[in-house]
Amino acid sequence: MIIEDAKIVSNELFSPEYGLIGIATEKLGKDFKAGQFLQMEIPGRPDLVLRRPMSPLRIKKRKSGWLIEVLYKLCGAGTRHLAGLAPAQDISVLGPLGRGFRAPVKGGEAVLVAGGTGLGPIFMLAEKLCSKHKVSFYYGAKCAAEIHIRSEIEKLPAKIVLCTDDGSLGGKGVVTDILSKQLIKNGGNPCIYACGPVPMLKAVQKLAVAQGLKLQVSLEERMGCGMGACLSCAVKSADGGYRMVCKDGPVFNADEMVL
Amino acid sequence: MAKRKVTTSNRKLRPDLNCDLGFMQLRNPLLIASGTFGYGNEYAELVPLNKLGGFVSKGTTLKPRVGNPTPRIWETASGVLNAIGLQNPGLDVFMRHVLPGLKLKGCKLVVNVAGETEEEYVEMARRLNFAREVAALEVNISCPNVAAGGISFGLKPKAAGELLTKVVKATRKPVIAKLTPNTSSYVKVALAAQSAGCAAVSLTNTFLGMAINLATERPALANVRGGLSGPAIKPLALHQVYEVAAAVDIPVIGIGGISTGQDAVEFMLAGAAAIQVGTALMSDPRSPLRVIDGIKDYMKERGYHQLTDFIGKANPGYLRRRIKLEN
Ligand SMILES: Cc1cc2nc3c(=O)[nH]c(=O)nc-3n(C[C@H](O)[C@H](O)[C@H](O)COP(=O)(O)OP(=O)(O)OC[C@H]3O[C@@H](n4cnc5c(N)ncnc54)[C@H](O)[C@@H]3O)c2cc1C
Ligand SMILES: Cc1cc2nc3c(=O)[nH]c(=O)nc-3n(C[C@H](O)[C@H](O)[C@H](O)COP(=O)(O)O)c2cc1C
Ligand code: FES
Repeated sequence: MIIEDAKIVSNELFSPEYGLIGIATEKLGKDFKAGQFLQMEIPGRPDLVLRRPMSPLRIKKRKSGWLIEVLYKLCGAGTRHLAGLAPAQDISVLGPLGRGFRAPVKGGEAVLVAGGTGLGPIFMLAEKLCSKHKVSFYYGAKCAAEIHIRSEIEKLPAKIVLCTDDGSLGGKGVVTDILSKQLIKNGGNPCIYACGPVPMLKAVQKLAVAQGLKLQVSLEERMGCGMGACLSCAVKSADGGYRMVCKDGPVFNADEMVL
Repeated sequence: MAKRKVTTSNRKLRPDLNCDLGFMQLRNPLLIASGTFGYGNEYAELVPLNKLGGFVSKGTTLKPRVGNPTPRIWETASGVLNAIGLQNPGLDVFMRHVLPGLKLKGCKLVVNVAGETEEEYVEMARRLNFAREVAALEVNISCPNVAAGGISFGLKPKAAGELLTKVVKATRKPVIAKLTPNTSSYVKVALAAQSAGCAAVSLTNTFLGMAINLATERPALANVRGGLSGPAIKPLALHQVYEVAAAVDIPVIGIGGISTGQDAVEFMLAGAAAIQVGTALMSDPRSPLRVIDGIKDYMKERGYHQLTDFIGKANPGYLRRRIKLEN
């Protein structure tokens, strides 16, 4: 784990609600597993005392160092401020944090499910798994304007299923309805990986239980330290206790957690 | 206060950061505040223990506690509200499984203990007697988030005095009383701690507060209320430290919103013999080391050789007491 004063090299708004920020680092980027996350400072806003947890979408090796790209949704003060930052701005980043996704057994099949900002870690996972595993990639959003980096997703050597709530792109309906039909049709014993809004995760969990399939989910909770020290980011576990999203997760085996 | 020869060039000055609290010697005046540093392992890669004066363990209770429901944390302007609810594995697990694995490297370990009854505190103090690694106990009579956090003792001088007397009797370890700012009697509580035989007082814990989540139109924290920490509370905490440092003879450890060397120096000028850093660690894990460097830079700039050259300098009441004590 490293803390680094990095630099913003690109920051592009896809829509009034989504942006993609590129951060150049010297060392941070090596050994970053899909599903792990960063704690990003909101530069120029010392009044926002907490860092923002964000999962990279892609990490590329550069001539010297790394390029970390993060897809972010504009929610509150921090992400709105982030959207206004220009390249060359310094930004302090801390990572890699937490436990990422665990790969399926050798040769095993993987079904990936992303909703909203959940695209980040799922896309990164897809890039890692595609060369060794049979991968299906399900990605749902509200409308066509919220389906991001489509051309890159379609380049993945995987079965790609896009869908939107309003049918403006791909299949119409929520991603889990489409997933449900396909899972039944295809059979097999794939591992499912999901990241997105809680209702989506719950629906995927129901499917996984019904079909007896293994499911890993990436969870979110409000964080303080991101290091497992302050015990802010608790999520309920099936054994009646709590697990820490930042240290025990953010990726969990769904059957061990209460979603 | 021993006077030393002042060298001509401050740049060459190598200030001595050793901090002698009488009952505990720290290599520098910075301790990490309870609840923000776990049991010291979590930050190992970023905050080397061999650089710190010491750290205070997270609040530990006799029996394990699962903690409060979430959200447990909420950001406010320049501050943080938390209601963790003292989640911890309990004293047994701490002593059997955590303590033996700690590599302290000269960093002093202070164990923060909390309880609901006098018996619980006394039992913990008794058991910790046998832990060689433990330099002192910090008795939390100030956690605003759960009854088990001892707040019922911390609000009233009499109750605090009675509890602390029993705790001090139960252990050979030095006892630090951690005060709550949520009472106008904080000076009296500090005096009660002194009379009870405490080695020091540390202040302050978090200020009781709340936030409302506009998205849900409900209290933001699941616990409704929580404790406010971070830069937002610095002036409030500093004032309480100033008042207490002018009233007691035992060392005062200053806590509240410290994130730079200058913040730390302000607390020390107000009379704090040592300081703790908590929330700033969340903003930047490098803050504690920066605070230490900042104190050193300040001393170089001013030509101070040791901490006692400036501790209490801004607090006439503190200085008067020290002169009386020395005579
Ligand atoms: C492990 C993890 C990975 C994440 N990855 C991404 C990502 O790749 N892209 C993305 O857009 N978002 C991601 N999020 C959510 C993101 O952290 C929040 O949307 C962001 O912190 C909101 O900040 P804000 O200042 O705009 O909102 P505000 O509501 O003003 O923030 C106030 C506080 O609440 C916290 N907070 C608000 N919403 C969330 C949330 N959903 N989860 C956790 N903390 C929150 C903020 O961090 C901040 O401390 C992730 C969250 C976690 C826990
Ligand atoms: C997340 C969190 C957990 C805390 N847990 C404890 C605790 O267990 N025991 C305790 O005495 N103080 C606890 N505190 C209070 C801090 O030790 C400190 O007194 C307070 O936060 C003010 O200092 P700061 O502004 O530097 O954080 C906690 C504070 C935070 C933010
Ligand atoms: S955010 Fe501090 S423990 Fe997870």
